[in-house]
Amino acid sequence: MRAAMTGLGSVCSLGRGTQALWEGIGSGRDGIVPIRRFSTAGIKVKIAGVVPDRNEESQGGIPSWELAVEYAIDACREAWGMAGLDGAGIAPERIALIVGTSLGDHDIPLYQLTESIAARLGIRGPAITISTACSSSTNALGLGLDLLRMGAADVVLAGGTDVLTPIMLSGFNALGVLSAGKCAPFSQPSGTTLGEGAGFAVLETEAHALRRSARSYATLAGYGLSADAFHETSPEPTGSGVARAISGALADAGLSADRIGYINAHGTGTVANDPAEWRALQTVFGGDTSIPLSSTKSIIGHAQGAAGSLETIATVLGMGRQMVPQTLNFTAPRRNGPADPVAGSRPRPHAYRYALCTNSAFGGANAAVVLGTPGEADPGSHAGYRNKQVYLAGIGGAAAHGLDIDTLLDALENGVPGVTGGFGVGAPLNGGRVPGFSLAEILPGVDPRGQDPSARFLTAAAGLALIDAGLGVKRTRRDRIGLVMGVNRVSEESRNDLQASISANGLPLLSATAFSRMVLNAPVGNCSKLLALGGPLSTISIGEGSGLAALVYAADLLRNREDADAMVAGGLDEAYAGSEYPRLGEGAFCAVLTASPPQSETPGIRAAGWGMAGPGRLASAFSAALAMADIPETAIECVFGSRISGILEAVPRIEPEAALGYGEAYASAAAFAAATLWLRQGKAETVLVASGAGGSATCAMILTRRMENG
Amino acid sequence: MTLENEVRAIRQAVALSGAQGRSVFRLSGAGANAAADKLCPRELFLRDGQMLHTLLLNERANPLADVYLCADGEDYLLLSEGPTASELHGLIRDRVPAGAKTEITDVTADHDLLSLNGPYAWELLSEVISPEVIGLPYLGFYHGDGFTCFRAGKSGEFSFDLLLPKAKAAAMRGRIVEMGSAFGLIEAGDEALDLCALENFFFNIRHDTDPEATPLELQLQWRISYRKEYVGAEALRQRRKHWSKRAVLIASPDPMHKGDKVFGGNTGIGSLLYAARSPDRGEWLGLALMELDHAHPGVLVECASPGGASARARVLSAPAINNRSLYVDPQRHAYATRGEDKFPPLVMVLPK
Amino acid sequence: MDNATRGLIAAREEVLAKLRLALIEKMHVRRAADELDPDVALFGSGIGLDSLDAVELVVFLESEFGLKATDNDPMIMRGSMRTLNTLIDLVLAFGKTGFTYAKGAAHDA
Repeated sequence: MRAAMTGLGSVCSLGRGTQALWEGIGSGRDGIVPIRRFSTAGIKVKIAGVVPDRNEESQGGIPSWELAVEYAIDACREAWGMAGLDGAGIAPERIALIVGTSLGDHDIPLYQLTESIAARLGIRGPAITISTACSSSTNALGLGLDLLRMGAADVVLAGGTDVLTPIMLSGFNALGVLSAGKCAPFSQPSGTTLGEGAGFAVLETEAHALRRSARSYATLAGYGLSADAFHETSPEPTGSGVARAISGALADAGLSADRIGYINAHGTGTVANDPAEWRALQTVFGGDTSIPLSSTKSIIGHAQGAAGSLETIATVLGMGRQMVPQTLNFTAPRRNGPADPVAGSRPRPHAYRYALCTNSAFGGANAAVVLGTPGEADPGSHAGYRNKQVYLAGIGGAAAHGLDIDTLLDALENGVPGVTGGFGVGAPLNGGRVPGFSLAEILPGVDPRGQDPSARFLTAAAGLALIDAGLGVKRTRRDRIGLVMGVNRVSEESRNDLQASISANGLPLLSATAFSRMVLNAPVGNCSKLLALGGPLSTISIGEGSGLAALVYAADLLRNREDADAMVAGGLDEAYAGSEYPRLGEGAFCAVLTASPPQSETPGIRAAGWGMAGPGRLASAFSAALAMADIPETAIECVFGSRISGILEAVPRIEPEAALGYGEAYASAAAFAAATLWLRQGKAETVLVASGAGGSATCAMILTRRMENG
Repeated sequence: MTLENEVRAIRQAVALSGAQGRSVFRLSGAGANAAADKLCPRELFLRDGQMLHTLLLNERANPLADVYLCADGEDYLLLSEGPTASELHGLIRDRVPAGAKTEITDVTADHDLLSLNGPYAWELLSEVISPEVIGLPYLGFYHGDGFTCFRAGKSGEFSFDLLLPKAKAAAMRGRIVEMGSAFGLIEAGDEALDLCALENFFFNIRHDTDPEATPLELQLQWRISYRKEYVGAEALRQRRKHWSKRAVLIASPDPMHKGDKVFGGNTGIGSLLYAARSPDRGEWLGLALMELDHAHPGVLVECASPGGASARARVLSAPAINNRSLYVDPQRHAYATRGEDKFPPLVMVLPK
Repeated sequence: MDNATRGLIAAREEVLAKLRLALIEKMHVRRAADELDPDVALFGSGIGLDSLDAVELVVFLESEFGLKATDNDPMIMRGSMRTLNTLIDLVLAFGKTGFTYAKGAAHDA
């Protein structure tokens, strides 16, 4: 199934609105200007693509998250209006919002930024944050397509927003990847230019758009995700990860590579990105491909988490006119670069039906989307709708109970059964902290050096889950095992390291390592590297319940796609100072989901159904899960999760969080692990894992030992 | 002049070498990881396609073999220099844990190694085999069509080893020589490679040996761990409690020779493990194993040969060459246009 | 050994100690200080730093020794980021270390 893109909205360095964006491109302008909003003292790079009416010194005091919200709301409103949705009578709870955003070092967690946008727009469906650094909004568009396929919303606003901050400029400068002048992708000199803004698209099913006679500007035909499993900030030089994301997108769209007529490349202009990306494209499209390829970053700058959606919008605007946007500043080609970089100062007429947008990020998260001109027939109705069974193959955890998952149920004794009432009573086990452990001891061969606690907890949990699943921890990169994690905050230790380096040396000399960890995806990317997992990679955040949201996303990827055999998914929290919760816990829990029944003697467990709905609407998520599982409500014998209300009031509740300590992201994954143990021990046949009322979305997943639906 | 030409090719163009005295073994089977871990005197953290530089030691902790361990899927490849293939086979067999399900195969029984060294080695090789070599990270390897290409070396320049079946080696060599003519390729022998290793302070198993020299003295602590058990570990731990010498690079305008005694004032403080004349520096370089107190750059020493000649020398900071490969960027540079590119001199002198 | 040489050695050892500490604390090298030999490659093999560490190292050289990459020829910076000893050479030649020994002694031929 494909999605119709019926509305587009943008805010970027060329101005507010898609008209300003295309007029800028059409007239050969760029939006790259001297930065005035904040001081660039001590940093040699003084230019960026700044939103023109937000580049005054007097605006320097606006908190970065407020600007991110403002850009997003503007872009969403434009897209909403363009789609003709005002007065269209769409129920607010059937509208989803997916925000891709990168920097996790605002004053508030990213999911609150998304909640704030949803609240201002009156959206009451799922409000989900994707934070995989520079590929965030590309991934967000893809997740939007999945939510429509899942039936979790009728209309999705998906895209990204990001703000240029002094830390972002200093961090990229410290990493040595900025160009002193305007960036020249695939040309000389090397280096990128930062940007900011927001880009959002209205997505709906083609049938839904048709029913309300809405004009479609393009179709979102498919998307793909992958992990480099290589390095924190450097792309894998052969581009194999990028190639996997592109191949995944083509497969999801049911298209062969030769149908693509234009590529909007990530094209940051850095020494490392451009050649690796070009090699990836050669892998997919053939070594001598002459497909026109350009980088919009030369025009608007690198808008980080918003880059993918802004570049997608630029592509769609061009596609509607049968033009391809140009690459500015292309003077001297680099060796072994693209044959046709659309060099010049104006867009070029070009006949094409499909385009590809690709983005790559720190942490090795790659994402690509395939866009089609409206009216192109969906070649395979099976594409994106495979409805495979999803099985549970293994679980692992690192939390207050220790690292032995089988002790989890013992550890939960004071929380079993029927403990309700929110945050529990008494002190959590071990003060809610993960006991000390050696990663190298529990996962021989895994290099533990230089990781922050977040990455260590996650790698331990994911590694133990793979071992529990019989898949083991291998050195050879496994491209068909993916990793999706629910994370709400960046590592407290790395955040403190960053602040300490700034206090000691000043902003221009901040710690590059700590800076690279200021994206939610950092521990997830590091885990994919340490465990050599090259499949789909994502980091999702909904506040409370993020772990279960990741499990739902991973299950859905397995059910409907062909590019993974197994997904590791779960939630992660690292304790932080200043928490309002006295019983704060920390740790990570992961499960391994597979698309084929596990080969083991113990009875199998199946993820029979799942659903996702807006905040406080667990009943809707639960009904969707029941419908997918095709079982009656009465089959549910036990509910795992905290602060569950409005469903199954008479059924026993089990709350691991009461014993382990409160954690917004990991606790729902702990509930999932506990549910698995419950089923393994034969204490129940069918159970529900649900997320609590505090999240920006609600999730429900039914686990059962019955191998067939109905 | 031949030696000088060979060194010039390694330092400024590209040179081809055979692989006398080197061997490659494969460890496979369920016990391969345990076997490799047992052999390896440092923590074995490797992902597929990565290699790690280490040593095999004797009981007294003297290096016996200069070794790269390479993670090849779930197998390991062991690239070794020093012992003969049969000696190495014996060493591995003796050290692999009893009952380990490991097959040990001498790959070099039917394979040859070809080495390319030089700032433009990547460029020649990208034309001879595939452009993939340009993206190959240092200490990485990959399998191509009928060959395996490793990126690691001891010349301080871009350095690749090609492992290929003996039947195909002659044809590949011919191809490299033929296409190499456009890159200034010449063949370089051991003497030139040894000199380059010395200039770059790379350990050279052919020369840098002494009963007193363990990884501690040889500045090779990075290749071992004190927290692991392996042959030589105990000797090394004992040595660490009281060690007194360090191998350092010294330079002199006058000739120096392997075996020369090193004096600080009138006191004997060490001896030369190896020495050779560096054409790029226009002086003699030596590897001196000498008392720690004197083993600091800037310190002046005297080298005396048994014949009575003496050379005034000073300790250098290693490496002694500002390798061109640091500055050659495959994205921007090419051998053909090297004349237009600006590179820093091969010998860096800090302004005073 | 004359006093000038002793002074030079003392200065080198002081810088060496600081650099080793930075490698361990800021660049997370998991080695004891005395395992970080002074002539061993910092990047790639040897001590095994990577591009992120290079950034940390440049920052450290500036904050600790007042060495600015932009003040000096960037090629000199690059050419000096080889081993602990070449870094010490750089610090002694350009850094604000406060040592009073005769600069350049390390390179007297």
